[in-house]
Amino acid sequence: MTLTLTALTSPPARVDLSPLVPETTRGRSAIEVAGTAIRCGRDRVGVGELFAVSGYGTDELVLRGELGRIDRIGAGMRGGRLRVEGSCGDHVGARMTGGEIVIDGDAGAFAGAELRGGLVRIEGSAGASAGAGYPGTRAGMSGGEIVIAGDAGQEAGAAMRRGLVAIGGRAGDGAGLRMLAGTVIALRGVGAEAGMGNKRGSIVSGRPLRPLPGYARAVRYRPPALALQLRRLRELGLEVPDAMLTGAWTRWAGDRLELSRGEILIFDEEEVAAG
Amino acid sequence: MTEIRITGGAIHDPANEVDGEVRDLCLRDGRIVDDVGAQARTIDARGMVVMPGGVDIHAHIAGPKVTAARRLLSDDRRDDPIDRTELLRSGTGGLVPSTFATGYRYSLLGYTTVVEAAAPPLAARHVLAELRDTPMIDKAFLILMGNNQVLFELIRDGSAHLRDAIAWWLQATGGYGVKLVNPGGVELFKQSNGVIESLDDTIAGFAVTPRQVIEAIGSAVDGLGLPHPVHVHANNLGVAGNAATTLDTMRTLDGRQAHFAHLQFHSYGGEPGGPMRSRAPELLEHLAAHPEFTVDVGQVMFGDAVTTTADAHVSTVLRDLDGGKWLNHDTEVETGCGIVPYTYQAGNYVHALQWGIGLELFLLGGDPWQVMLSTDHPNGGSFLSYPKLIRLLMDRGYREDQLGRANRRAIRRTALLDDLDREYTLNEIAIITRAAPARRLGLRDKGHLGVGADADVTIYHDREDREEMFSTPRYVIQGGELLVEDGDLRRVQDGLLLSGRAPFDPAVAEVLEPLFGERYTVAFDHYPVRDPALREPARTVEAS
Repeated sequence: MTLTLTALTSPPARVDLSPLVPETTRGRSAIEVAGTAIRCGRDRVGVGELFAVSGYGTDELVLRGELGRIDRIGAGMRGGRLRVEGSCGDHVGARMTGGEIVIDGDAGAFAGAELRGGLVRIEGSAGASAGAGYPGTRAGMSGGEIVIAGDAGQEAGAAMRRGLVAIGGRAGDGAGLRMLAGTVIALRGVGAEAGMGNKRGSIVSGRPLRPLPGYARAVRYRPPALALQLRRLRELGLEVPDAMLTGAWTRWAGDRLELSRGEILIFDEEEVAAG
Repeated sequence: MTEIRITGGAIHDPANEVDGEVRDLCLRDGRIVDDVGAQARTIDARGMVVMPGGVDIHAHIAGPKVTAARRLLSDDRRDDPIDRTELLRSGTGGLVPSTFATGYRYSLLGYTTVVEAAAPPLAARHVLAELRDTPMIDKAFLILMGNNQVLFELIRDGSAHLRDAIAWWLQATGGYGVKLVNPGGVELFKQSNGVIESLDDTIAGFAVTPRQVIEAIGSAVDGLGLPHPVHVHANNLGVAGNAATTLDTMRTLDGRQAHFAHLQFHSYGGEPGGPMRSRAPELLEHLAAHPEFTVDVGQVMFGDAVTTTADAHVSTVLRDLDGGKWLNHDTEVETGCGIVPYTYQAGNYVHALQWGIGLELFLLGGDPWQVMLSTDHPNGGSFLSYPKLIRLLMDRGYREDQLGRANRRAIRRTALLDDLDREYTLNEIAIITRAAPARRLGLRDKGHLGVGADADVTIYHDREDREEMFSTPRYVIQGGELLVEDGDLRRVQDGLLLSGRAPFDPAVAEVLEPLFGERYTVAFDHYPVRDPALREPARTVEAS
């Protein structure tokens, strides 16, 4: 039976669960895992004090129950599969390099922050700074995919250098802030001040948007590369309307402060109505 | 009353001409004594090497620039968290550890005294507060005086109060000694992005030259008889051809006691903007003829570093090379500051040459009492890289292996391929890491194991791998208390704040006050640090 951790109670302080990933639990019994020390606020506690542990460690790990105060689930994970049945705290999948994390509910702030590789799927919504770099970091996310079925908070994909942040709903303000490269897609649009300080990144907004003054309207076209990426989003389970695959997009080049090598692509709804 | 008897260790105490003699060492009440009673705790040091505690004469561990570096390097620090335990405070490590971590890690490395080498006097409260939060080690700081506009005015006018002013400043801040950083050059940069081309350039608005500043302050410190002579970071750091400036600076100070910091960064031939080459041999020759001078090397170590300097101009040059994040900051009237994270790469011509020049300074026959170990932490590399540097000096085979990894073109421009077979002995390592720095700092109770000295003792396993040996001392004793055993901290205590002091005429305040009023935004009365809590526990070393 898959190793399963069920939260017994809401912990007294925020918990860092990063020591438990498939790589470290593989081949270990429930009793061994229950004895692993994790940080709860300023203290260290045994996993068994906060979770009922059952099953046996394989390449898969399942977390259940009230996990809102459980942070850094799957942080630094290098492989395997981790499933969160419910919503979880902050920093889920932060700096992971491989494997897959699926969250059935919502994720807190910094989901998939500074991701290096692998896939983070959030069936609900994500908090602020999904796929973002931590404060002080020049180059944040450098690979992998983050797929959010719901909405994302502020500054999704901030400082990212490579990879994909795909949002089925809407991205908050400041999406793609200071991004170096990579792609942020929000099918229901992005908030204000998207792409401020963007160097070479692509920000894709499925809803109309007035870009910052640092962006200049460049062209209206049907970008083939975007169609490929949108098909990939369908594979990953997001609902992408056909019109977005075939319709026209307006490309804005910017941020001019960073030599206008980045872009914001905005879906042209009039074309859809006409089509 | 704590009594310890260390038995059977090979004692390396070069200040007392003891080289590996196996005998007991006795400690009582924080001092080294002749003998202790039968009830004393015994440490069996058979097969081990016993040295005085390490003394770092030049590092950057506290103050606004270090805080700024910590803030800039959040990504480096968060990868190295330090947990709170029953004994230890939490913190972060990395290139610029937090205050508590700095104390713990120096202690774990066998160091017992560290000098913060560049503190703006205006920020003395900040420096003192951070040093008070840096446990374990005894510590001192040098105050920056080479770009102080008030001093420029006194120097220009040939004021008889200069000496009193310097002594006043030390007393006002709790500093230990006087540091000159790019004298005149930082002010010139702040005014106009200018650089010093000659020591006789005029600093606009003050009608003084770097040479006058160096000579006047060097002479004043020499005349005051402070425990540590003027500590000089010469002009034109890092610039090709700067060895000429360095030699000129040395000639300006000939006959007076002086310490030249991170000489490696000041030993370059060539033309500004052109390819660099080594002029380390010439500088060593000058040094050999001038026993009144000492230097620390400022070795660069391949890997990550962060340049943290009062030489604000240097950081703008590095910023252009690096293109990453950086910071520049002004301290009114007194100095500047720049921070640039930097990586030294073995394959890079300039970096490999810098690495090679540092090794030349160590290995080309200089007197170890004059040439001390430093990496200018964290500018050339972290203090945690000292053990690796010691291995480079002690193990020729390892050094040649590392030479093979460095840029060949650069190494060919050094003397390192000329069958340079010198290997430092344990006593020579003890000289460059404790005896010579302590002597140069005027710390008579440190850097040696004679009766009456501070009971600061580090005991190492005598391992063939010198890097491993010096990374994890078996025991570290400070002030007679056992702090580290087998790589673990066993006891936490506050180190002493070491301050230098020389008598001065209090009437100098009447000269300084109007000059302060014209230039500082801080009122003269508020400038001196008066909070006694910031200066405790202290030991004052008087001028002689």
